[in-house]
Amino acid sequence: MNKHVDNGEVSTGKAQNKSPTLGLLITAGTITLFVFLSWLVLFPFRGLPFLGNYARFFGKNPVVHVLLVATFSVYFFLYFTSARKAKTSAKVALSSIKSNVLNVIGALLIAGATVELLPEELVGELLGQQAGITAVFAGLGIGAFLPACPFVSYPIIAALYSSGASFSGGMAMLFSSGLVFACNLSGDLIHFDGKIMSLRVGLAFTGASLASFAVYFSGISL
Amino acid sequence: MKDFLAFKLEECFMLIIAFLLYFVLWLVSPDRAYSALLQGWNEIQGLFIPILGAVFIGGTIQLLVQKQVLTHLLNRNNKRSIFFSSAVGSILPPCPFIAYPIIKSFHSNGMGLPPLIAMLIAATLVEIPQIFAGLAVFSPQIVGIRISFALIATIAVALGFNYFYLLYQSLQSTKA
Repeated sequence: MNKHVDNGEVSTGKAQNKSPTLGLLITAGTITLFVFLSWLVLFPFRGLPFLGNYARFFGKNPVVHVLLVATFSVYFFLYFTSARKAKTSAKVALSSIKSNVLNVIGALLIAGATVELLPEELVGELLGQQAGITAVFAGLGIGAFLPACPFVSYPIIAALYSSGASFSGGMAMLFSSGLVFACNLSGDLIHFDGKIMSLRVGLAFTGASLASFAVYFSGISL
Repeated sequence: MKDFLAFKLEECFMLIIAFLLYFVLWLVSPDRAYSALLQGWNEIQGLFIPILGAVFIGGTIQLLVQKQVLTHLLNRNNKRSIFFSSAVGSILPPCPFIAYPIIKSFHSNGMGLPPLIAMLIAATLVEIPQIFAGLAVFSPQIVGIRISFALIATIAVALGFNYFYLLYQSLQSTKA
């Protein structure tokens, strides 16, 4: 048992953990305050009426805004604590941007073209209620080729679901959405290699299949 | 500056593929090529600045993350590291160009193959931050089912991969 002397009093590790409720309350309060203050900082990223629709340049997902605020905060903190580390980090990032920027632009353009070219009517025929377990296989296959960005793929899946696709087929598309889309594959190849890409695709597809069949055999339907 | 603007072929292969795709599309149907280009431009507008942010924060993680902490949490091919890396992968932003630089920085700092694979699977399958996109389109029940089933499946698959990876390693060491 840990013992230490503080102002002449001997306390134990056990004695220090007497009020976990207070600790939990302080933690919850800190998190709540942080989230509240974060949203105050994030507010300008969501767009201001008199400055036009500039918010589109900062992504649609608020999580991305949190990431941007975190980036500024980390560099601000680094600059005042260790300017050398801030400079080195920026150099590493610039080098990474230089080697990836054209591939990223290319992948985003391909994503746009795929959305435009996807034959939605044909996809709908494969996913109907009458298709049974075939709808799960079809959902897994189609979802895998949908764009990785949820703001692009989710409306397509929702449109198919509301036009008669089965629940398990729709869920299969959700589970596998974007698994082998150009952005994900190029991300694998840019940052890792072909071996990691094969492992990621194979195992993620196995996971998506497991989840889809669990939904199908559990009989859940909303 | 001249060196900075010089690109190798592998640094622009996706752009070449995109150019060829749009060129063929333009030959077949100029209207659809124009619509696709507009859609592509929307993608670039919405994602380019967030991607830059992710790359910059990825650059700091490589310097700031303590190797001892990573070794303790991620650099062991055990169940705990699989759970931890699955949890971290689940909360990363749902875009490969944003999440992958962060995952790579963990890998560069000594994360093993099974936790890396677990993090990659979670980042592409669970994607908890997609909750905002999900709630905008689907009901909370569908979003809840997607996240919970995907997380369970990710952990199951990652644990299975970890088991076979350790088995393979022990067989290799026995042979040696």
